[in-house]
Amino acid sequence: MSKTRVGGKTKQLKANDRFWLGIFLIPNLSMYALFILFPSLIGVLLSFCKWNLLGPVKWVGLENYRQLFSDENIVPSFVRSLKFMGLGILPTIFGGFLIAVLVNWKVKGMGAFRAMFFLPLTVSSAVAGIAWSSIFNPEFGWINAALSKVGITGPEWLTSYEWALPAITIIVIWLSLPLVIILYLAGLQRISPEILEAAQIDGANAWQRLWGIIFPCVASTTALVSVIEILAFLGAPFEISLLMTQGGPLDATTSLAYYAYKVAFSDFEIGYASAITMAQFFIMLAIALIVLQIRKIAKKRG
Amino acid sequence: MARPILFSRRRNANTVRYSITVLLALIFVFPLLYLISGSLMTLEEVSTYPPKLFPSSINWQNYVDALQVMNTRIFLNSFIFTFGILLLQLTISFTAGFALAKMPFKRAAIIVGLFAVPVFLPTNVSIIPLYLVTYKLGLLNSWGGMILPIVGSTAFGTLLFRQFLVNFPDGLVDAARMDGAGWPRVLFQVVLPLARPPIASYSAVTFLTAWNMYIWPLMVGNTEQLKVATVALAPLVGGGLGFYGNIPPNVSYAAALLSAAPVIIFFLWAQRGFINAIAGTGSDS
Repeated sequence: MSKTRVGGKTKQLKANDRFWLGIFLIPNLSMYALFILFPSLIGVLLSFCKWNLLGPVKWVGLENYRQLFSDENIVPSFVRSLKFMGLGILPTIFGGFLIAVLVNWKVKGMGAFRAMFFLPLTVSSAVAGIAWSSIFNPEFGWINAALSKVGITGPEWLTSYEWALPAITIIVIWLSLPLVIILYLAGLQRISPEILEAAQIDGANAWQRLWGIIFPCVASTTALVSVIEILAFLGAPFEISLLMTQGGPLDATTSLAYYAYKVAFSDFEIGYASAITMAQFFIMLAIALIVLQIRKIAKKRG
Repeated sequence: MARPILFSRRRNANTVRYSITVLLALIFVFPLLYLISGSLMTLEEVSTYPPKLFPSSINWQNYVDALQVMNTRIFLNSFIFTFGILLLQLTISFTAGFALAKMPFKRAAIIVGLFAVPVFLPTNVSIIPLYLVTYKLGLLNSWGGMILPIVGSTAFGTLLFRQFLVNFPDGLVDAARMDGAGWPRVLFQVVLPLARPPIASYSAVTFLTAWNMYIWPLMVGNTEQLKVATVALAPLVGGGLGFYGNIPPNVSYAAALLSAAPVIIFFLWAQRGFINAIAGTGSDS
């Protein structure tokens, strides 16, 4: 734009442009550098150090990473992270897709029911924790009351070693579904009606249309949702576990993220905690890359 | 002959579909519906088996008791926290988004690339070093420590505004520049009035996120002066242990609803813009 200026004025205006460019950019960039980029760098560096918050920082090279392999809490915590992901991701994706298809329908009153599926988006983990701890209450809760109607004696849920993790997973699914539904709704809007009409003429029934035509049409949404949910189920159960079970009973809901938090803020081993989060980051990156790769291959074949 | 039959089959299918949707929706929000109902019950009613759906009489006292936990100070803190983040982050994100979209300079692409970094860095990975930086700056247990580190995550807003402003007609900006308007005037009088949709979207998302933030305010602001609603509510969760401290469950339901009320009201009011914001961000990436 400054090129449109004429003659001797250009130089002066350029300096002026640069001044305002600085005013507009520097507050943002300095905050972003100080609180996002710099901490990320510090996190990487600290993973090579020993530090207890108070004493001096000591460079120890790869020792923290070696400790990862000798620490007997790492594998169980990682397995629990995998369980959260294994139990949570597929129901969230397919559930979200099906609900999105159901509510993607312009009939009277549907708007209100659609909004109901978005509601968990508005509540904090603490509110969700209070609501669900009453639902999961083994004595007075609705889930066990419903189970006893069909002759099943419900477990102790959040206080049971086996069932605490699935219970937390259900809550995280509930909290994650609104975003997935919204993204799929946006994806469904982009399918051209001609495709669906053509399928109808071909005589495909609703179920065949759903999985044979609609689901492939929103494949890009599925890829996006998969990556988001992998990150969510590796990370989010941490906050709910912290609120509802404090990682228990007997570490049953201590995921890798939770374990890193404990190492940092209960044991004050900042360096080692950073190494754990780095490991978690690389696991996440690897999984995300694999998912995107699978999608690429699937795309080539399809 | 064939047509009416097909039509009625279609209608049956629609009735089935509608019923399934409604039933699913009710099951889905049941935990929140029961929270409302339970918040109006007596202690006896919330601890009976089988559980009751509705209170026998409306028991408002729970809300009076809940205000002991969710007092005005806590609400004020939550509003300061939320709007502090919102206003500061909006200001620096909008100006930077404008600069990156409408003030051509050589390294713009590099800076835009820098903002993509946090996509790969989820909060729980960076929260330990973020805490350390805040601690070293001497900002623990202060409003600065609560708000500024969160304001620093400008990537979402900056990229959102940049994306909107890239598509903003250059002609309007150039015309104003030709008329001798300085950059601040272009920003405030030409661009800002036409940028309401992305500002609304950004504000909705940020309001919800900030109001519901828990771990960060717990770590840096767990004092009487700084305690926000989520931090005040957390001790009432106690779900796994089956007890609620000194506060009975029906009162904690009321406290939970009080803490969520501002967001739920806001969400119901601004639902459409909010959904568009999320869907839009999703489809961009």
